Amino acid sequence: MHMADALLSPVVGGVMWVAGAAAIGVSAKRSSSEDITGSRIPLMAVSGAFVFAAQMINFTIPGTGSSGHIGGGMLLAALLGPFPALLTIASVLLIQCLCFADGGLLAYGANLFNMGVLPCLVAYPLLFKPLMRRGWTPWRLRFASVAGVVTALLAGAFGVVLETQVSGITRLPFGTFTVLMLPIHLAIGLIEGIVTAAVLSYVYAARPEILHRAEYGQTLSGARTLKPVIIMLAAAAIVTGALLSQFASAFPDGLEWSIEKTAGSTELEAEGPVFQGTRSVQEATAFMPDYAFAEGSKQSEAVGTATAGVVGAGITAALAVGAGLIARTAKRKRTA
Amino acid sequence: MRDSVRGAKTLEGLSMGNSSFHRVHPGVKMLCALILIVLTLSFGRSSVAALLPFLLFPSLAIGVMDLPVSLLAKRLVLALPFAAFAGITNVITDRTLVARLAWIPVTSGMVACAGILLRTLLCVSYVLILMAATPFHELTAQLRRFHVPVLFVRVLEMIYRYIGVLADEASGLMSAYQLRAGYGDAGVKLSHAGSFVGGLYLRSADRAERVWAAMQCRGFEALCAPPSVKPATCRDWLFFLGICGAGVLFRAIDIPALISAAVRGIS
Repeated sequence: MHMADALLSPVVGGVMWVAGAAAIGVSAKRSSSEDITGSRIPLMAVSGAFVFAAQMINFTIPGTGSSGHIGGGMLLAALLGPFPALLTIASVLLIQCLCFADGGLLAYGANLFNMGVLPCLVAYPLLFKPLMRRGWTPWRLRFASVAGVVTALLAGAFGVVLETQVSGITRLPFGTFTVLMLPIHLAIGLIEGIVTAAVLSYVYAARPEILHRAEYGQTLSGARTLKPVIIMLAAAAIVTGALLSQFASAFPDGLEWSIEKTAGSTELEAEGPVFQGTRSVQEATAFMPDYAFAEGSKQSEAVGTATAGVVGAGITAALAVGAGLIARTAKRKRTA
Repeated sequence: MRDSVRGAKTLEGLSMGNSSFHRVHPGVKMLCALILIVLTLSFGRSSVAALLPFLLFPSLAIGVMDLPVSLLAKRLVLALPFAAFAGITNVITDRTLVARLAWIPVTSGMVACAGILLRTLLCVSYVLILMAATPFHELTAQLRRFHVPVLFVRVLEMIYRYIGVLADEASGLMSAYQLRAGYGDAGVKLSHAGSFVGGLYLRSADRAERVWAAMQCRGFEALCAPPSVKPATCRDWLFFLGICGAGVLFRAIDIPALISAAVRGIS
């Protein structure tokens, strides 16, 4: 479910970045003093590394011939408590983005929201904890894990659909996209829920104090409510969305404004010294002046334009790659 | 699994190089990468050729730093599936004919698909090159200077260090499981997943606490002041202006269109 940068527009990516940064800031502030002084840092770190490693282990999905891996947000929330869990999953996602190209840098905020905020700060406190309030029993743990994970994963998948649609990246109708995404993630969520329940049951049987510490860490700081977090996230997203939307809609105009100031017109093709210069360069470099197209034929003109466009694009790409090759050859010669 | 970790270690090894890219201030490199990503993504969904000049940045960086292209290509493959899914849906749903290349019809969806894949290629390249040119500890030190919460940065640093250890543990467990159970590469059976993953977690947690105790015995403090790093110099800011200026220029001027006009000549 890691989104790549190319699936988001800069505005949506920017809004989600602000929401993600706010979530990290609030989580760092609301983590307990024990976390801040460092005594729980190793547990958080190893839990993060554990989720990272566990994501590399694929579990067979019965009857489908396919496999899946855990997402880990709900598991971390149950092991560490929601705020340390969010910081941990945020670190995991950043490392995956930077070192493994799994999820884009601009899409980091969106990925953090879909895979971190929703399981840790929404599904865990609103679903998992209330279900576990009556005490830890194996069946209650299984039910709460599956319900929490499935809800978080479906909400995350729906987040992906919304973010992609708002970005205008895909022409797939909203309903079709949702229908494609949700059933797949329902199946994955059920498997992840079962695995999460099994892991939590194992940890509870072997080291119950780990789970109790996460739970009591919450209870002891009972005054902490998620209301300010949600309000802050919503406000940050709305304010930034409004500001960035203005910026985005003005962005091309701003560029045109710059061009107008430097070239005297909003269009580079307009008359002026720049245009004269490019015109003379074009005349000098027209190495295919007799490009044979039947005059007056619209179809040939279109084909000619398309072909010239492809040639232009090819030359640009070749120049860009060629510059790199020259740089590499020069470097190797220098070091030889 | 070991291959993935080995890939990350290779990237870390590359970041210790001494090219002109490596010597640029880490904060400046981070800003450049972010600005290039925003510029790349600011193109419309039907822009493909106009994006091509942006290939110059990864191409130059790979050349100057002498990076192995295969490593970047492997990382790129990881990023492609979801982007490819979005791209292919465009091909299926948007069949408006926009051009013909020889006898091949080109639809609007095909152009959008190519645009998504090209944008993915570029954005992934920027990030990987940033990582190949900047040691991880410099990046985290820079995050501290950007006022990112210290707890987050510490956890980030420690996860990065623990990943290798845990991946080895997980890989060893996996090999042992496969050898004993005889399931081949099919993965862990769902009924064994709890004890398998739970066991890995508890073993790792114990090991982490031992490592942490050893670090504290050697004087490590979780909340120590951020390491002092030299400020950005004029040369760093010139690099910033050069990269971002070129990016803005490529965004403002459709260079392939200019070249194709030059190829056709002025009628």
